[in-house]
Amino acid sequence: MAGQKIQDYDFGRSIRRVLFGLTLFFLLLTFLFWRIDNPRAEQIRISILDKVIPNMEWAMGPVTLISRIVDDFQSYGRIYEQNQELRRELQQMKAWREAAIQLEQEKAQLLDLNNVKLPPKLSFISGVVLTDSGSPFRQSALINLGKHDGIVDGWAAMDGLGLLGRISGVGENSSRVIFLIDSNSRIPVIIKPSNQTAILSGDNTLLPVLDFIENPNLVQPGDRILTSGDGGVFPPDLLVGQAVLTSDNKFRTRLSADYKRLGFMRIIRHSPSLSITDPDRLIGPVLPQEDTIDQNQETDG
Amino acid sequence: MSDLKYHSIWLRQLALLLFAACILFYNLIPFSLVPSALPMPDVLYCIICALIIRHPKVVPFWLIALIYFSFDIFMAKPFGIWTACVLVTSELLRVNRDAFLENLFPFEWFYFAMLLLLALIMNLVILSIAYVPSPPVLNIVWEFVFTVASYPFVIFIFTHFLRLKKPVLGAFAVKGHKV
Repeated sequence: MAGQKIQDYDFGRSIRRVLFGLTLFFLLLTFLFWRIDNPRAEQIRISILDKVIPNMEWAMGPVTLISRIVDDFQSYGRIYEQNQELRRELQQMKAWREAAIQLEQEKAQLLDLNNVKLPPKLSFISGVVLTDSGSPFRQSALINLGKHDGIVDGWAAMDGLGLLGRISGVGENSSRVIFLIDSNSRIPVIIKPSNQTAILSGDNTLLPVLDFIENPNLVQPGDRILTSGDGGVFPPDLLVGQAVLTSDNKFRTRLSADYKRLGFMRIIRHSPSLSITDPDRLIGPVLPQEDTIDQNQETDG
Repeated sequence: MSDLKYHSIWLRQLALLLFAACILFYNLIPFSLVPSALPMPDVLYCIICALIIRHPKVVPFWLIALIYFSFDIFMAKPFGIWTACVLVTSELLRVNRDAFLENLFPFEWFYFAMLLLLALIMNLVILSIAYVPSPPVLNIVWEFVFTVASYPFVIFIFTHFLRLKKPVLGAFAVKGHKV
């Protein structure tokens, strides 16, 4: 009897060993799959998240709300100072508003004089943040808009003021937004007023680095940074932030978007404008195809 | 194995799963989307190691694989690789489990730290071999320090609140894990 038991025990142990080996093998295989066919693996991931996360909203919502309320209570302690500060800022803003209105009118007059055709106005769609990335090394969020709402990979996400990131991975009812501060994020930007182009690359800090500035001598701390629209992924002239010079003599960006209290975000609908392929497309309207053929025949005849 | 005991193992596994779900949930809730300077300790790793020494039947390898693989999927990590590292190190601990039953806590703690270090380094090495951009080393060091520092607290809660003790070989062992 005892011998039988020991045999069973050994048998169980060797089966366990085989299963353990298979599990390890499977894990390494999934890693290889993820590494080799990354877009497909990420698509699988987003479709799993898409099934699970929207069902957990009932639980996520209240907890997030409570944490925000606690935050708000903490800020009541400084309410007097904040009030003073806000009044001061409001005063400054009034002056800026006045200046902006005047400039706006002047710009409208000038554009009218020059008969300029502006790119079509961008429209947007707003979504709610469902979850953050869950990892301290990845800066992204899941929002409740997906294919169903017409979201397309690569569209820009903004809060009310500044650029937040871009869509990367679209599920049926949810999609992932990679923030500018994620270490995988690279965005072409333009620095005003010197018109230097640069690449804004995230590094997991709130101040992403400005890489590849053409001529750093022309850039001043405080310069405004906008998207350049190069590469055709982002629309041009979305506000990103201001340049700051850090102690290691590098230009970084103080982002205009407020990541701290992010509940909603706007996804900018953007279809890249038609690219000019033939030189004759540049001037004049596109001629109808049939007419040109007829003309050709006439000339041949 | 009596029926009751089998029952309690299932219950404990369920409790562990629930706790893992809570950790996942906590990590996913968008409290603040600002990148935090310091990473959180991997409490689950502490719990799993502590359980392997005390009640290895509660944490079979497939449960560890299940929990960590779902973490990989939900937390935007590379698939499978961190799970594999955790599995290998937890198996190392399981094989050498007998050594800790009669040893003092500091020895166990040191061994735990070495295992975690091994897992983190293995993860880093494999990621760099596959040319996957890995997180900054400083963050990993902090994660290591915090996780190792939180191990005594996990043991303290285990022994004093949950009354999970090592299978006693002598009074020596019980005295051993007072922190």
